[in-house]
Amino acid sequence: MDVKITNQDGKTFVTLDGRIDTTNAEKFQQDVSMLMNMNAPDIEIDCKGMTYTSSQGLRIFLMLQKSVMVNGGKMVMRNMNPQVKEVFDITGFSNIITIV
Amino acid sequence: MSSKNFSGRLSWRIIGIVSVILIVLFVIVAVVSHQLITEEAMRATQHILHGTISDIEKPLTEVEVVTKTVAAHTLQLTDAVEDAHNTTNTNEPMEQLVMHTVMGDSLISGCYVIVPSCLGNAIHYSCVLQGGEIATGTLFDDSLDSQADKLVVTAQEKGDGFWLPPHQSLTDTNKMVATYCTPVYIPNSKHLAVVVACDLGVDWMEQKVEELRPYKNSLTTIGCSENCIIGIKDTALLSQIRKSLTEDKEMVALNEDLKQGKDSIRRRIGNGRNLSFIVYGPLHNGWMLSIVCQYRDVLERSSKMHVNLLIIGFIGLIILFFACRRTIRLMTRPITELSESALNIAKGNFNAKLPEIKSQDEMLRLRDSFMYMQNSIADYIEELQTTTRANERMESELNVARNIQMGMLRNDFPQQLYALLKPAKEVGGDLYDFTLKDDYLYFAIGDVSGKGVPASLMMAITRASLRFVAGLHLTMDETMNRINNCVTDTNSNNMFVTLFTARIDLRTGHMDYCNAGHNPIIIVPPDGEPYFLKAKTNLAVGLFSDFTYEAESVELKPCTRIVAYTDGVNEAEREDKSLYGNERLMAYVSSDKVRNTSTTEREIVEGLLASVRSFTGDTPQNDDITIMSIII
Repeated sequence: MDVKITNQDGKTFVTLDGRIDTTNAEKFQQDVSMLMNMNAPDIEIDCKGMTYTSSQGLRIFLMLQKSVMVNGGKMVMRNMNPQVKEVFDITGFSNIITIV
Repeated sequence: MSSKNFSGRLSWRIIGIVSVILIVLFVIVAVVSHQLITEEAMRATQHILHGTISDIEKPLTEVEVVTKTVAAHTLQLTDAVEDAHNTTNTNEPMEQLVMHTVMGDSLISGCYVIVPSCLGNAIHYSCVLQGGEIATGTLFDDSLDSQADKLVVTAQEKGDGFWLPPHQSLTDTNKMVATYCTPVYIPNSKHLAVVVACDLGVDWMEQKVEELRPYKNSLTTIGCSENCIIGIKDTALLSQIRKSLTEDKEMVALNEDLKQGKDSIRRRIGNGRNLSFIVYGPLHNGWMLSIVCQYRDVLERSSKMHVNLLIIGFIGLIILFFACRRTIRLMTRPITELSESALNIAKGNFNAKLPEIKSQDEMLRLRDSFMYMQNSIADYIEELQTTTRANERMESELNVARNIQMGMLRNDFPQQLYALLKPAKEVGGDLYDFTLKDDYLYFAIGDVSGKGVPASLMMAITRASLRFVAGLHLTMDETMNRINNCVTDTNSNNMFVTLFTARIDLRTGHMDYCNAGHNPIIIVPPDGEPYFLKAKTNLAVGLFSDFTYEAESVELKPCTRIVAYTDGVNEAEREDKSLYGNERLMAYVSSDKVRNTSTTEREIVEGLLASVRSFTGDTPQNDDITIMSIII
């Protein structure tokens, strides 16, 4: 799992690549934890390279979503592949996270 | 030879190297010293040879001078000689002359004056020492005539003085004498007047060569003629030498040298043990003095010294070996002790004492490293023991937790329902529940995000809430709302639960259900294809307490099968990361086995589990698996 974080025009861009599963969910959480305490609350996540996420991964996206909401920002996930999108749909996460 | 210990092996190696060096040194010293000694011996022998030559020549010269003096005198007496011929009387002056000659010179043992005669017998005047007495006379002995005649002929041929090789004395057969002869001519004429000869005893020469032995088996000889060699009495040896003079290359060269009056050395005479060198030089009269020395005599002392050196060297090597071994043993003792300590440590005695080392060298460093290792291992083992104890405790606690968790799940299945739950770890986050009340079958299946202990605690909360809310017999949406409220209130860690709850009216086949983000359950109708039950996208439980869940309903025909599961089934992973997937799941539920109403629910559940297991093979289970099958 590769996580790239860049800042541009007061907006945070995150690019994800690979799988989020049991073996690396914790590391993924560490990688994105800094995003939860930022002054630039708007986050855009590019999920083009993300091939799978376990429920631990969903939980981390949820935590991210909640922190963004607390800071008064917006979180958007882009380019999600259909299999991953299905997981988000089934669990109802598509209702609370903006997926475009 | 091999040695099992280090000191022995190293000592052998040192001895080997030292031996090679010593042997090479020894060979060089031996060869060089042999050469030097041989050269020195030759020089010394040559020196002796020259001294001896001049010693021998002195008497010879004296005899020659005396003989020539006598010859001069005889010329004055020639007339008298002539008279004597005529008168056949003795010539008094001539007799006087020869007598005075013998008496006047101690070297001369006999003096002869031979007057050759053209008229019959020659006249001989002689004076000889016979048994210490002087005997003079004019000899007419026939036996001497022939010899005297030969002498005269020889003298005429030579024309000057010459030496006869040693021969038996005319008067004493036991005595060997050499004779110097000189012819005297009538002045201004080529006519031989007389021949004067003087005998010189050679016993002193024999004695001299006998005494002249620079080395034990040296042989000193004076070669006077081919048949007469003073110093050799053995006739066999004599003939052997004569033979070698023509055959042996060295001896032939020697003979050539002598003919040219050279003195020299021949270094390789004889062979084997008798290998010798010969030093030789000519006397002025053409005789030859030679000294033969055998190399083994020359080198005897140095050879003995070499043997002694070898013995001393050998003893030295033995001493060196033991000294080396002892020193090495002393110096490497710490290694031996360290190896014993290592063995002790290996046996588990981490406090094994290490040897004391006083030297400030590699041994000390080795000991220090060893000590460091010992301490590290001891610390590590202690840490490991602590960790192991902690792990064991945790494991036993987890086992208790597992038992408690499994106790939460019902296993008193009615005939139309069966379920199983296989956690990926000791405890898991999946749950199921069911209850039959008044022709209604209530059932639920759920999955907490994550797994292990955190998921299991969340599962317990969800399970308790579910039980509590289910007892209220509310509608499915209300049931889910209540459960969501309960779980969200206690969820500070953003975990969530996907949950499916349903109520089936067993009399009509009407099913109310609410799906909170769970995998769609599968409906297997008795007369159609199995399908995933569509549900509204509700949010998983535990996220937002104010979320409003929506319930739905479906009419089911009798003998319809319902298969519910958690994502541990369709997301079961193989080693190549491929998933079991919905296709395989659907293929299983489409099989005749599932469609056959006489198959028990337990068989269906266990069949699905077996299908998943055969897909994943040896890959460890990556998520909790729960399967439930119901028939109405």
